[in-house]
Amino acid sequence: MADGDGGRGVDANGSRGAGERFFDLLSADGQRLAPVAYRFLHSQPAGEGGPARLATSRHYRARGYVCFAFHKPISKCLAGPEASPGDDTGGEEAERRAGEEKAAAPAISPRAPGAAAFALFACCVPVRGARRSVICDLQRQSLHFIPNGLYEILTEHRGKTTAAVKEHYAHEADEEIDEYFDFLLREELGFWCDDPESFPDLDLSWDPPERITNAILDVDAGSAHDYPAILRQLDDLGCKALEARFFHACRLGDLTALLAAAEGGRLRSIELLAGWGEELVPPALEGLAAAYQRLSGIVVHSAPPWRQHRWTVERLGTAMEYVTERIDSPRCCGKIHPGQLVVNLETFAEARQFNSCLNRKVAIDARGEIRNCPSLPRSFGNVREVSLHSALAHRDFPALWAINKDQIAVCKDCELRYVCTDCRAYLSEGAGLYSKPATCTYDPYTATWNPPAAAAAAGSAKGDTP
Amino acid sequence: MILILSQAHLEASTEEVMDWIERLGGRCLRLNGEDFDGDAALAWSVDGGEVRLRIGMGGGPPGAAPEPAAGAATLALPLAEVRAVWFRRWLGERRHESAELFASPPDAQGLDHRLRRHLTLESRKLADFFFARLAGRPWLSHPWRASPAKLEVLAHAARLGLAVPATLVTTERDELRRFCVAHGTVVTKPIGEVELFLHGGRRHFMYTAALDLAAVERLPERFAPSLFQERLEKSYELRVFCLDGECHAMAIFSQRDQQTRIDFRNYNRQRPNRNVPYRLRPSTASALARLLRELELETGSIDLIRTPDRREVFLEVNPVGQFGMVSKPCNFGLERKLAEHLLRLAGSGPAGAGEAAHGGR
Repeated sequence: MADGDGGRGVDANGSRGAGERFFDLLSADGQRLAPVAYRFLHSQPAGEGGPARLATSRHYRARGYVCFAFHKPISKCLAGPEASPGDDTGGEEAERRAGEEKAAAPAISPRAPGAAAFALFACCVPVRGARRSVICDLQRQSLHFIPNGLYEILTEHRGKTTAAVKEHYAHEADEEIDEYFDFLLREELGFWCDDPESFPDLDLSWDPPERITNAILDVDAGSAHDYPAILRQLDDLGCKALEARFFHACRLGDLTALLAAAEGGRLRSIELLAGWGEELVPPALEGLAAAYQRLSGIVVHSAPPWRQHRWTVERLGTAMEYVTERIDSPRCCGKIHPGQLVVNLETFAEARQFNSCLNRKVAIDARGEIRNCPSLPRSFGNVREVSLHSALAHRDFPALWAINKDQIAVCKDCELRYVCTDCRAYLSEGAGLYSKPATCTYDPYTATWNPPAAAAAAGSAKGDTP
Repeated sequence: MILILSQAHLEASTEEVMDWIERLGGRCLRLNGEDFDGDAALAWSVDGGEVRLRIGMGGGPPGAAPEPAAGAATLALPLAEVRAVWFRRWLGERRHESAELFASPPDAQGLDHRLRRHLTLESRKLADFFFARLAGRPWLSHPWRASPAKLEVLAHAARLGLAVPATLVTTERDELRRFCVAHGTVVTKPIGEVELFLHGGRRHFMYTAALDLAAVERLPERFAPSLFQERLEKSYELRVFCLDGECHAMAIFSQRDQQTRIDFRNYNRQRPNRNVPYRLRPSTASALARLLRELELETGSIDLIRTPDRREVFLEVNPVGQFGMVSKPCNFGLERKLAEHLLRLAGSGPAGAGEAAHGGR
């Protein structure tokens, strides 16, 4: 690769234009004793490190137990944004964004391909849909819509030189093909290489050690949960993420009772959804975030309109939000919209094999009934009488885990099938247990998001049937 | 039982290995460097012809609320049950290195430093007592073998047929100039480990830095012993985690970004470098496996550079390097492989090989 910085004195001043040079702080003796590397220290403002949440865990004997949000939404109660981002075809939107970012983007090597073949980075995985395809950037967590023609080039003609690809299309699409590769390079989705065999695909198998990876606990004014007992059982199952949904107007004490019971345990993430009560003011929520760093987010629902606000707590990165929506029962769940799409390796790999909502999930409803999800009718016993362990051992409990998107009507033709977290509780008609989620308004056959609610409310003819 | 030697902070990969040991039916106990730095109650005695050691660990580190009832949950380390030891880390930072040790600033110059140095040496010796106490068990990475000499390793690698960069340690500008003329731009890096200094609200990192001839001319005639290597043209940096003779390689595309082209650790967080699985050439992979075997390292984190002319050039090996940064982006599942390796060392074999999949596999 052409190396342009040879003549620049390279990093002869390690802290180029950035305040002090460490070496200059040293005395004459210090400078004599310090190896040459000390003259070239790279200086940057301190405190740039990302936010961090640390807790203690007795189970692991860890004091700085790293806490982070779960890799996907545990429940889906909130409605989506008004607009439908990503609603475009053929990478136009991505192209526009690329144009904006161009100045800031590092130089790509527009090296003439010659004998080289184009290779996608292994973390950029193309998925074909009925009308268009998408490249899922599992590292940078973004989606890039592409035409199915480009999907074909990237898969069927993988490893071929540009010349060979153009030849295959009888030179009728030379210009488009050049544009495609320009787009992929600009977005840094791939690179030219002359040894594609050195770059294997990502292994997309999925098998974390936890028997249960995530749990939902519902609470209402009439609940009588024994938090320590429930959390102890979740710990025994290795569970790392919990979402607790408080349907009623909460006092601070309602939340701390649960948070305190989770201290010292195995959870790495607790998300709270709580009904607005006057004690739940922003300073109080931030206080909870500081005191209980397992908290990765709090959404306060049923809040007065003037409270609507969304922010992250400084240093900790805890996500806070007030919404006016009323979330007073499990029936609010199962909302599929662009805001619920998650693009990361864990979700993608899991969704290819398993149900992306229910797999390795356990739920306890407000009455203590153990279910796959609080919205599903079947109970596997009450947690006061049956242990989670024995509920899970029931033959039927993991049955729904195996329904992946490739088996679900309509979804199986959708390019978003591995970045969508599904819903098996509220289904549209037609294919029984294998029907598309009822609230999803995306139509993969036209590649459009139908206006949310409006279409359904008007009983519009523009349904989601192919 | 597998004893894990670690530290109390920021060990998510260690914790995942613990999860796997549990899932595969094994038992493990984690002892942190901090336990020897005040967290645990220790008692060592020479009793007749024997050394006795008692380590009383609370159910968790102090401050882990709610603390279990005093006494009841204090757990003595059952040394006799330890079948294998995994040395992951020990103490990232010793308490007396950061603590204010004097009630008021000492009047004698350098006294503070002297005190800290002595406490550190004492603490190291104590750890050595303990490691010696565990002799005779299989260790995964023994700390006494944790830092092979860089130059010897390079020479050893070259003998095994691996490409290595021209390397020089010198105190003389003239010598460096000749080296620089022969190899073009050179890089300098510490002879041992990198360090980070905080000063004046800034962080000063010891990333690999490049010097051209002009920069060399600006150096004094004599300087402290420093390590230089020829600067290799990079297509990608390679980071390999080697376990059980098997290489798991990742390519880091640091070259296209000005910020990371000399040293990828100078992370660009807005547009992180691409990290993807890489297939080493078989000759490189087998030479690396052999190198580790001959250095008596069970595991190692290896840095290489892939040059535009397709050479895979060996830079160095870190015996207790982290594996999470390779395992996670490439989905190599190294946490599980480490757990299986430890269970084999402990002679229990991965139990549950035929266990029912919990929605997994």
